[in-house]
Amino acid sequence: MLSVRHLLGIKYLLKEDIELILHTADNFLDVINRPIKKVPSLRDITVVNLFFENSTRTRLSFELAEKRLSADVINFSASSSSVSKGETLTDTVNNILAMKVDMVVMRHPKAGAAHFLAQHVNAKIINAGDGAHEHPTQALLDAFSIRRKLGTLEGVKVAIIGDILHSRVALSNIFCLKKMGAEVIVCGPPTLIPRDIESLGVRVETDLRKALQWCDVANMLRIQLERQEINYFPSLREYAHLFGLNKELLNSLNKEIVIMHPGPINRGVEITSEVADSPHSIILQQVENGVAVRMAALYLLANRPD
Amino acid sequence: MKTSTHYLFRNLTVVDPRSPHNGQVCDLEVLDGTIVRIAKNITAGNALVIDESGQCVAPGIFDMQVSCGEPGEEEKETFSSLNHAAIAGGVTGLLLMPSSHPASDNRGQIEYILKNTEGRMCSMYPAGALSVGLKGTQLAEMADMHAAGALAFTDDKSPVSNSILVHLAMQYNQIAGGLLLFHAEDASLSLGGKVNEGTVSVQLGMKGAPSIGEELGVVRLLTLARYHHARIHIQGISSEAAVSLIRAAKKEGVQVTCSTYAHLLYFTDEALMEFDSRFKVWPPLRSQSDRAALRAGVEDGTIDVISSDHRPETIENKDVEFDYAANGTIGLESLWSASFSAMQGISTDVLIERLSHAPRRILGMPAVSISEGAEAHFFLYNPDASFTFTSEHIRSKSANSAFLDQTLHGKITGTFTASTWLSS
Repeated sequence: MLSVRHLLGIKYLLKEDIELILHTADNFLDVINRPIKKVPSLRDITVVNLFFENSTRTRLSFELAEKRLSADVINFSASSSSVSKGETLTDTVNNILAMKVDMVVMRHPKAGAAHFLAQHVNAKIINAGDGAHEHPTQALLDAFSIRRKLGTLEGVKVAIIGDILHSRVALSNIFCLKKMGAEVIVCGPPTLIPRDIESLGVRVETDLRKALQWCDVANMLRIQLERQEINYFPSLREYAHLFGLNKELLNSLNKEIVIMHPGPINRGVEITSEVADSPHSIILQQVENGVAVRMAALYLLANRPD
Repeated sequence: MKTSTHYLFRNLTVVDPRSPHNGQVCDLEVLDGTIVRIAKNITAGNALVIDESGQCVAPGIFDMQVSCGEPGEEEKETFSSLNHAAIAGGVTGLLLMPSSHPASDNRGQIEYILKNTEGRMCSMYPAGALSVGLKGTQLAEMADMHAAGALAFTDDKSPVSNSILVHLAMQYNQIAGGLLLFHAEDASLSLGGKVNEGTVSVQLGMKGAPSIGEELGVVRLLTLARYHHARIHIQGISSEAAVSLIRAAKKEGVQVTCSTYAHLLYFTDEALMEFDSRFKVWPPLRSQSDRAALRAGVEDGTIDVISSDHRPETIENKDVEFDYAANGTIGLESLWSASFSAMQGISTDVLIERLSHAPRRILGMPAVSISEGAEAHFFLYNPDASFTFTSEHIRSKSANSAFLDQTLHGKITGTFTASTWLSS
């Protein structure tokens, strides 16, 4: 059984919780590769997907996971909602819960929004991304993907590369990988690395080649221009030059590394098409694994007695 | 409220470094609002006897930084509710910030406040805005406001990022005559950060406002004050660096005084781990080493004043997603107990100096004292009683207190001021 009632962040999980989710996801990955992909585990459970920020893949992935588990699903996005009329988050959610909803999957532009919801409404909450705080299911699917590819997380060297400052994926990945015994370095322009990041037990490397030479897995993050209120680096051209991963660089390493990306990709910026589509890349496996991992999280939370 | 003109308070320990009776256990006889006798075993005919034996009596607190909703945001606080909150906290005098709606940036506003606060138990004094509308571009009519009764000038939490305006204000104040109060911050470095930059902000995935923003703000103010030989007061410092800079500047002879807030002495940014907006204040709660430096600064006198930065906010403004929540905590009711709790281990004489005497001295007001012949403005507290601070202790119209559910020490049992005794 999970030690938590909500999935608000990896920070709040025990190693055993992560093991349980990954193990359950293994089973669900088998399920979704069968001819009949649907199981009745969440029959009679209603899940609302609340997206206050644009999302395509995460929302689709959650929706598919919910439907594979036979949950009833409703979708809500801020653009089509009463939020634009000034309704508060609590009121919006309570109105939806009054319609007897059991679980809420929420993405929100502000850090801590999932906590706020968990304190104010009586439903199980899955954080699908809150500001630059956490995106726990992404970290779980990344860990799951690394483990399937390399057989373990213990001792695996992971480089997280790019805009660390604005990335909830980076933060959740750091918490998850450290709990699972992996080694982590973060790599990017110094302006996009939080000053006290080393307090999380990671190393900082600003030379991409050195980071790649060190790691087994490179997780290339998307440059989040929409979150940057000022220009943190001179130009995308210079960024791509210093921190973009291309075929030549990859070939010049004296070893093979696994390439990951949480999507959506800025092709030609953090990663070239050649690399994204190469056999080194597990980007599409991450997407497939995401459905299994989200099924596991939904299933374990829904079946946890309060 | 007990109405009488003649009171006898029994067996109280005097806590007042400026009183010849400091540390003594005495009776206090109060007649028509004046302390007429301090001695053991007073017999005073038909005086109303208040027997709070074993408790301490200290001079009424003066809170140098208080916001009220009135005028303009009466749903947050009125002068009436503010008065009740102050008296419950042993606060018998306070300085009102000009950040009302509209801002107190002209004689009319100052007169409005003086008229509407007259006759309250707690004496309320207005500070005028330094700049028109607190916008930091054009000096407000400081001389006219001073003539009308404004004791000080400040743009409250606006950092007056325009150095030329600070420069002009220091020059112009030679004829205006109030005390200049500043908030020290280089706001461009905060970059939208709502919490302290450090290990906590990293874990929360939030942009941090670095304490060097405050440091640069202090440097700028000290540089200008030194240049103009101006006397300034820096409000609400929060960082180790600010304490060090001000300590050095004082040694050098710069005419600077400063304050910090009770909640900055009590909490650190670790309180924010659950994104609770009650702890969202400005400047933000900082690290343990910052808090330790603030406490040391209070103890050695680098920090002259502890104030509450009482800042009432409605539930609607506070109980929302952390990023959207308003800054601020109320603090009048908890100012004494929070300071007493945070500063355990230092002499209460020092606390009374920072809470009661220094603010009045800095503002050029008459001293209050537990002395024979002095006007009676004091509060009683029980040094041994701890209590859980709850909504029952709040008299403010707003309930956004960071201290809710905290176990505090030094419970206040009553306040005497304006010839009236009010037990808590």
